[in-house]
Amino acid sequence: MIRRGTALAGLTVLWLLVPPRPAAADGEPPVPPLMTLPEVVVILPRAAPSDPTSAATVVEAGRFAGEPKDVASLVATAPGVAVQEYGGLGQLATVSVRGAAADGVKVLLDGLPLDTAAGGGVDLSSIPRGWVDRIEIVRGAEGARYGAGALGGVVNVITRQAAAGDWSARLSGGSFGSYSAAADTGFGGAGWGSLLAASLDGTGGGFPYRWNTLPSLPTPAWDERVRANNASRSGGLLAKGWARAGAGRLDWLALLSETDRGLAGPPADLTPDDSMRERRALAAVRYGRALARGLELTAGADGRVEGLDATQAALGGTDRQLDLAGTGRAELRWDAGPHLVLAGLSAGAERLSAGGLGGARSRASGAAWAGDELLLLDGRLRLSPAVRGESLGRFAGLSGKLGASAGLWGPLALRASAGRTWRAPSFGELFLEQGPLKPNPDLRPEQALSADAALRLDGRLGLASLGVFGSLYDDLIVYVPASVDRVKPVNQARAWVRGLEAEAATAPLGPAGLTAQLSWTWLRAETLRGAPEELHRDVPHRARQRLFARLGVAPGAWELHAEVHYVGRQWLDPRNQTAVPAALAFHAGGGVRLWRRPELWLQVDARNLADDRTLQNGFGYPLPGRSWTVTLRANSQTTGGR
Amino acid sequence: MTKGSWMLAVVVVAAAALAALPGCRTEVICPAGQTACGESCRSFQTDPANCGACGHTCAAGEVCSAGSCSLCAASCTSARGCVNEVCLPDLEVACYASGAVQALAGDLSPVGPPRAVDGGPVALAPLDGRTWVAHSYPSPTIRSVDLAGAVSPSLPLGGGDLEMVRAHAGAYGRPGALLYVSDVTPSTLVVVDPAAALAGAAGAVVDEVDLHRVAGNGENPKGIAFAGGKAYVALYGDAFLGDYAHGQAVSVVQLPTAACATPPCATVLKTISLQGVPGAADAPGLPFPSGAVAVGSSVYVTLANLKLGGGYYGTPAGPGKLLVVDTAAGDALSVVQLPGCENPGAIAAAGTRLWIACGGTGAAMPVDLSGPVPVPAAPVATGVTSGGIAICNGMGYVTDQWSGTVVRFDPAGALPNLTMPGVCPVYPPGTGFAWAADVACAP
Repeated sequence: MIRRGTALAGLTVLWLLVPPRPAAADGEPPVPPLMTLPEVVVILPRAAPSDPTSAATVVEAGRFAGEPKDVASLVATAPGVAVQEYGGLGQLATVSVRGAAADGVKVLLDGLPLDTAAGGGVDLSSIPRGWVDRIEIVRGAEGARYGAGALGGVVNVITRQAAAGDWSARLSGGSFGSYSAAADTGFGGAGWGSLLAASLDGTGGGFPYRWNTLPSLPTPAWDERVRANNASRSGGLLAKGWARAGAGRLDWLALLSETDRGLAGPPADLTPDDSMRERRALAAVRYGRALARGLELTAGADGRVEGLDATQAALGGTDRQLDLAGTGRAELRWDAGPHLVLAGLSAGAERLSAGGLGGARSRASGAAWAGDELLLLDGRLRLSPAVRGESLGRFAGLSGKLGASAGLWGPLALRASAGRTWRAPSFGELFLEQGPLKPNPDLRPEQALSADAALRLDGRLGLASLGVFGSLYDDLIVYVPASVDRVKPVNQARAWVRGLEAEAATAPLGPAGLTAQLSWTWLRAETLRGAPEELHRDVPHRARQRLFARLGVAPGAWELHAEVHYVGRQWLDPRNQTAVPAALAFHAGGGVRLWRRPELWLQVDARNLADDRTLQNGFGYPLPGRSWTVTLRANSQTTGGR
Repeated sequence: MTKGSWMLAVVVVAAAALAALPGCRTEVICPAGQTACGESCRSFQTDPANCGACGHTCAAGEVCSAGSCSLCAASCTSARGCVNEVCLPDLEVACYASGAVQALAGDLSPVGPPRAVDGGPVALAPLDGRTWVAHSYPSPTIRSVDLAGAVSPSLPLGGGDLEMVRAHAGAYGRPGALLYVSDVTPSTLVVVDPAAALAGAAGAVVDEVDLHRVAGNGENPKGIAFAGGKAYVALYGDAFLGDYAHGQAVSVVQLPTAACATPPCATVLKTISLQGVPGAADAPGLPFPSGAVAVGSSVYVTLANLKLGGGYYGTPAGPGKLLVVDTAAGDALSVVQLPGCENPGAIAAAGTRLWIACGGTGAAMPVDLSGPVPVPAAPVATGVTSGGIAICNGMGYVTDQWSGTVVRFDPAGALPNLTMPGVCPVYPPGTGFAWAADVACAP
């Protein structure tokens, strides 16, 4: 299914080109070099991505502490990313990266995949925001490092770290009956540490919006309405920790979460009686130890149980879906001179039962991967090849990636990468027969090929990056009419997505602690396969322009910030005849420190300041007008504002 | 930075770009029976500009038949024959899946190639030498095809799913006919000026009327009929929600006689709920009013009489019904039972007779209007799930809701049925989806 020979040959050549590091004279294992590179020593405001050759953005939740930003809102501050919020306020939110559908974005929690065999992408609103330390967004076909499915990229949510004595708490309330409470505490001792975090969020969801009752006329006829059956409530518990175990270290994580929500439905087809409940339990353990100097082994296992009960009038009742998954993996890391070699194996299984699947469906998975981080030219050039072979049920494929980064001059660096990967059809696409959906057991995997390059300026004042990218998606699975009242998934679509990504963020400047942040994306997602009238048109639901800009001041005892979010026009259909208009929203807020130790802050935030009640997501779902949130938060550590 | 590292970085990017280029080719997906010529889909069997092969053009005055060029008179089988060496079709069919209108002769042979319109053509309305097409999926648009096959610009409407288009003259202070469109998603009746739509000019949408009784879910407007300066719109309702707050009614819209300067100008006079109308449905079914036609001062509306929860084509609760609205008597209602006709939908008038497409029983049912009350007669079996229906040049035509088949039947019963599969092709390939969504007499 892919050009195995080309990828493997490339990696082999790279390996052979690099002279091995000379062995120590006394025959002892070589001493690993200090892997400190200019790209790694990144100062605020950005943490370093795990692979500096990738197009990656790290969004630190602490930068927005106290603000009513859920995971989707945090992700939306990165370039190359499009978040679809189906109403905000705890409702379904999915992410698209570089034009790939939500199904083509791998969403991880501390590196553990959250996507299930059911397909459809991961609901970002199901991840409690109180747990988040930072979010790593990696753009491009990243299957070689993160596993098949990362056609457009990866969103890796990193939870808060366990640090003894640290604690934080947050309580907020706001418009539309919204509330949120979260607390966490870290404790530990010599050789161990753990974190406990709890989170509760909810909303009445009844926001007002304006609906055009006469959409064919040139002048809108607005009707003021209130979103009904839009309440949501979610909560979660997270426990994680580490401990020294013999000569190694044991890391563990366990979480429980539940989300209940009404499903309001599209404005023209309201579903007043529909609702859903999603429950997730996840546990993971990992053990790592050095086998020899420079050689480290990690092995781990994780398991997940996820239940989804969807009550829909169109289905005539409640459909119960239960997903069970478990994976074991082992990885060797060999720090060998200019090389940092990774190689690993994993095996797992997943079982999904749902009413429309015709019984429970199971699939086994297996993967083997290898990668290298290679330093050349006295560390000024980094090459990062990786390859992964993977099987998922009856599907198998190879993913590959080659990345490079090089210091050009002072803080200026160039990075580039190219990769390919694939996505196996989901059980939903293969087998689900429900309502208007027909299955298609003959589907093939989707394919992605991507390349990008960027200039990156990273200095004491902050970070700026400007890059170009191109991604080719082929055999994309799309639902097409298969009868008068049914749709069926087929491997029909091919899209060529290219664009520009720019981001900039300053470190706090001057005594006022002035910060500025910008992320901008221009993206052209062109249809390459389809009816003549669809060729060269924009892929639906892909805005060409996205902008996030933010200004803030935080001199110490108080802070203020203002944001602009812009999403360009999005087409609703493949012939580009019907569009959702561009959306522009302004957010602002500020906080004052009430107490120094422990730190106590009072924060007030307003979203959609202009109270534009006509805002819609890319599928025509209304978004809330102006909303207010008041937050009281306390930390054991002094953060000094932002 | 050294020259070597620059080179390496450039090589990485260039290699990736080169690897991507071969895959960036476009690929046209054509309906069954058509072939890609460049980025267009052509029928080698019937396209005079690509007859038998891409670019093989028939000479002036020739038509393309079975992949060969021939004189019009030699291959044209339509009742209207050749005019100026153009074979005039007898009827036209909306091919939903392939997004085309196919002209046919009375013997159901194709006249000319399929004319690509917008996606999901679902309803046809002949007017002044053109056939106007309402599109349902994926975008709500209006456009038209003339007898020579030329297609007018697309007029996008708001909403998301058109269901019906009908032409009617005598309103809005205009001498000519306007187009009236059922727009399902916003539940509106949209009025379009065909001349402006043809020219692609602004102001093509003359008016729009909200048919909601209460805000919220869709009324699901379908069939439209005209009588006494009013439009009668069947509000089908929701197949899953069993309330009478939306749908299960007929909306009566007063059309203005004068020009409409500031829309909306038409007004909903009343919405006739079918709740409690004796005989409109058999419990636990609901009426589900669908097709509509006016003859004289009476408006006839088919009632599908379906149980809830059955999806697009629900389970019949009993035989279909025919609602009669006597507009001359204050919209007095009466219901005629249609034994042997389940899930009736489309309805066509031919003189003093109605023909009703019976989807649930695979039939076409005549209803005699010559007496004081409508009298249904024995249905004519069509052998398909009857969808659209038209009576053209004395012959009846029915489309199949589950395929691209068109059936010709003889209203007089003298001729056997003629069944023509594949009039509308499968699209996309591999889905098996073909749908002859509507049929209309050629303009």
